[in-house]
Amino acid sequence: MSSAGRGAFGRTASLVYTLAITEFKRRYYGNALGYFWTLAKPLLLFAVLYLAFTKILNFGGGVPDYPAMVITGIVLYNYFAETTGEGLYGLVANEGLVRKVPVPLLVIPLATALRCFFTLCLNLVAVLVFLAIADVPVTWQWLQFPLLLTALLVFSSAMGALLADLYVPFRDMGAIWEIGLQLFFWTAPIIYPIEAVAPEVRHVLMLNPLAVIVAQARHVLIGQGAPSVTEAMASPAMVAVPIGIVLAALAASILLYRWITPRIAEQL
Amino acid sequence: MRPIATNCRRPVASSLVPSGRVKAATDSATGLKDAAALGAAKPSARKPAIVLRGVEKSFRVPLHRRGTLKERVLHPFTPMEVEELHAARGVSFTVGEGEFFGIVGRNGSGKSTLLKLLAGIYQPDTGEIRIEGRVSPLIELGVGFNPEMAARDNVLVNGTLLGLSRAETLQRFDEIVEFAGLERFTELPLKNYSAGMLTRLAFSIAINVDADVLLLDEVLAVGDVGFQEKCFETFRRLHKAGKTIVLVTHAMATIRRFCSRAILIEQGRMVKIGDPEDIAELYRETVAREPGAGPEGDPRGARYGDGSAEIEEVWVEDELALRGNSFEQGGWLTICAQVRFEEAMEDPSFVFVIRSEDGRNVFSSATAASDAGGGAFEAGERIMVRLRFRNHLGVGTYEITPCVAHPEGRRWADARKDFSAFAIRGDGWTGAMVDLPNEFAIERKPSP
Repeated sequence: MSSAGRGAFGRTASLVYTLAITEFKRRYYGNALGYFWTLAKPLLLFAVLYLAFTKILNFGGGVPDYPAMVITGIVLYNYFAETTGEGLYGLVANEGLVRKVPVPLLVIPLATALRCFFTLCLNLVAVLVFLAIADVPVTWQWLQFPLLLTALLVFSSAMGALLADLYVPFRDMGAIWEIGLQLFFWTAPIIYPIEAVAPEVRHVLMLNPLAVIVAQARHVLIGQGAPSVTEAMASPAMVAVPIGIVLAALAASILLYRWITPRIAEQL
Repeated sequence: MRPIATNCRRPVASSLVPSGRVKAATDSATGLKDAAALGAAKPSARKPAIVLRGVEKSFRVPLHRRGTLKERVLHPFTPMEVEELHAARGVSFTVGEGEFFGIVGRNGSGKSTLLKLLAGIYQPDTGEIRIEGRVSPLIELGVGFNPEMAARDNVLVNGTLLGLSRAETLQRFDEIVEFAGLERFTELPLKNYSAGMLTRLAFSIAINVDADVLLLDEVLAVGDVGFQEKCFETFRRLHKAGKTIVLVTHAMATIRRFCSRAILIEQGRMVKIGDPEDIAELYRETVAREPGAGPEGDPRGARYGDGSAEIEEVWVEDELALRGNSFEQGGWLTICAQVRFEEAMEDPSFVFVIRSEDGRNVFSSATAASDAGGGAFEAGERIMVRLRFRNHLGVGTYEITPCVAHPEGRRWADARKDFSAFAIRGDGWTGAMVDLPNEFAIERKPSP
C-alpha cells in the first residue's frame, strides 16, 4: 500500500511472518514439553527405522555413519511432509481469513512453510548432535547446506500451495497425499544410501528434487564416500531436471495464486 | 496487496459498461427506474473515491458439493452440475470522497457481495472498480483472532491482516487497547474474554487502521448500547475527518442518521440510488410486499433445480378436502402439490418439508422412503402429489417447501423454499412445536 510507504512485497512478508510466528507460538505456548515434542517426532521415527534396519534386517552395517545419515534424511523429509501435509488444508482451514479480508492468498501456504521452517531449525540441532557423536569433521562443503535448505523450502512451499488449491474441489486429496508422502519417503535415499541402489533405478530416483536434496545433504555434511548428486546421476547435466521441477513448481504456484486461486477461494 | 487496493485496476471489459447499464434498466423485474440515470441525477460534486462501472459478478454453485478426485476419475463425462447465482448485475455508481454511503437490501440481495467486491476479496467478472486510497474492510470483526493467544498477539495478527505493518500495529497497541477499555487484560488469552470485550477489541483495531475508505458490514449490530454509541461517535469523527465510509446495513435508522446517500439492491441489481429517506422508504415497501420475508430472514421463495419439472402450486386441505390457510389442531391434513413435467422422468421422488416460523424443520417426508408414487411421467404431463399426515402440529404458522428430485436423489428437478404457508389455530397453545398424542399417569406410591 502506497500510503504506508511499502509495496505489496512488504505487506506479504510481514503477513507471512506474523501468521507463522503466531501459530508457532500458539503450538508451544504454555507447553513446557513443546520443544521436546517437535524433536520427539523425528527422533522416534529415527529410532524405529534404525532398530528395524540395523537390528532386524541387519542392514546399514556397512554404511559409514549410518545413524547420522538417517537422521539427516528424516529431518529434511519431515519438513517436506509437514509443509505439504499441513499446507494442503491451508485454504480450507483459513476460510474465514480467505473470505473476509483481502489478502494475497499465497500468504497462507508461505506462512505454513515458514512455521515448519522454525521447527526444522530446531530439529537441525538434533542433526548436529548426531554429527558430533559420529565425529564428522566440519568442512567447507557445509556451506552448500543452506543452499539445499533453500531449495527444500521453495519446493515444499510450492507443493503445499498447489495441493491447497487441489484440496478445495477434491476433498479426498488429504488421503491421496498421505500415500504420496509415503512414496516420497521410500523413493528418497533416507534409510538406504543412494550408492546401494542399482544404477538404472538410481538414475530415475535422482530426478526427484527431494531425493536429490537428501542425497546431496548427506554428501556435503557427512561425506565419508557418500556420492554427490552429480555422481549418482546418469550424467551431471541431469541435475537440470530436479532444478527444473523445483522452478516449475514455484512458477506454477505463483501464477496459479495470482490468477486462479482467488476464484477457487470464492467457492469455499 | 491485490490490484484493487492499488488504485489502478485494469478495466476488464469497460466496453461492456453501456450495455450492462441498459440491461440492468430493462431487465429490472421491479422496473422502478433506470438506475444508471438515477445515479447520474445526483452527481457527486466531490472527487470520486469509489467508482464502479458495469460490475457483474456471478457464482457457480455446484449442486452437490464436496467432490472427490475419485468421483471425477470414475465419472469423467458427467458434467459438474452448477447453478449460476447472479450476485451483481450491471452495478454502476460513484461515491465521492468523504461521503457516508449506505448499501441497503434484503439478505441474499447481493449487498454483501458488493462490499466484498469493493474490498477486493472477490474479483468482478466484468466491469471496473476503482478505489482511491487505503481501504479498511470491516467485513467481519476480529478476522484471524486466536482464542488461545493473548490480546497482544491477536492485535498484531489482525492489524497486519487489515493492512498495517508490524511496527505500525505495535505503535498503536496502547491506543487500541485504551479505546477498547481493555488495558488491564492485554495478557489474558482471548478465550477468557467476554463477547463484548472481543467486539470492542476487534472494532478498536479496525478503526485504528487509518484508512481513507472504510467498508463496514453490519458491525454496528453487535456490542452493548454504550459501545455502540462510542462506535457511532467514531464514525462521525472519521466522517468529519474526511474519510469515505460505505456501510451495509439492515437498520434504516442508521442509514437515515448517518448516510448522505444510499443505494437499494435487489437480486444483484440497483433498484434506486439517492436520498437515504427515499431509500429507507422504498426498502420498507419492498420488504412489506413479500410477507414472511423479514429483513433478517432467508429469501422466501428461493428456488433450486434444473427445471425438468415445475411445482406450480401447493396448498393444504383438511379431512373434507377443503382447501384453506388455517386449520384447527388435530385431525388429518393433506398437502397437495401440482407438478408439471417439462421432461420425461422415471421414478422421481417427491419431498415435503414443513418448517416452523423460526426456520426449524418440523417434519419432512419423501416418497423415496415410503415408496408411494413413482412410475414414469411424460414431458408435459401434469400430476397431483398428495401427502396426508396426522396433524400433531402445535399452534403456529408453518412453511411448506416442496421438492421434486431426480431418481438418483441427488439432483433437484424443482425445489421451492417456503413456497406456501398455513397456520394451525386452537386454544391449546403450549409454546411447543408439536402436539404429540400423550397421556399422563399419576400413581401414588404404596406406603411401605
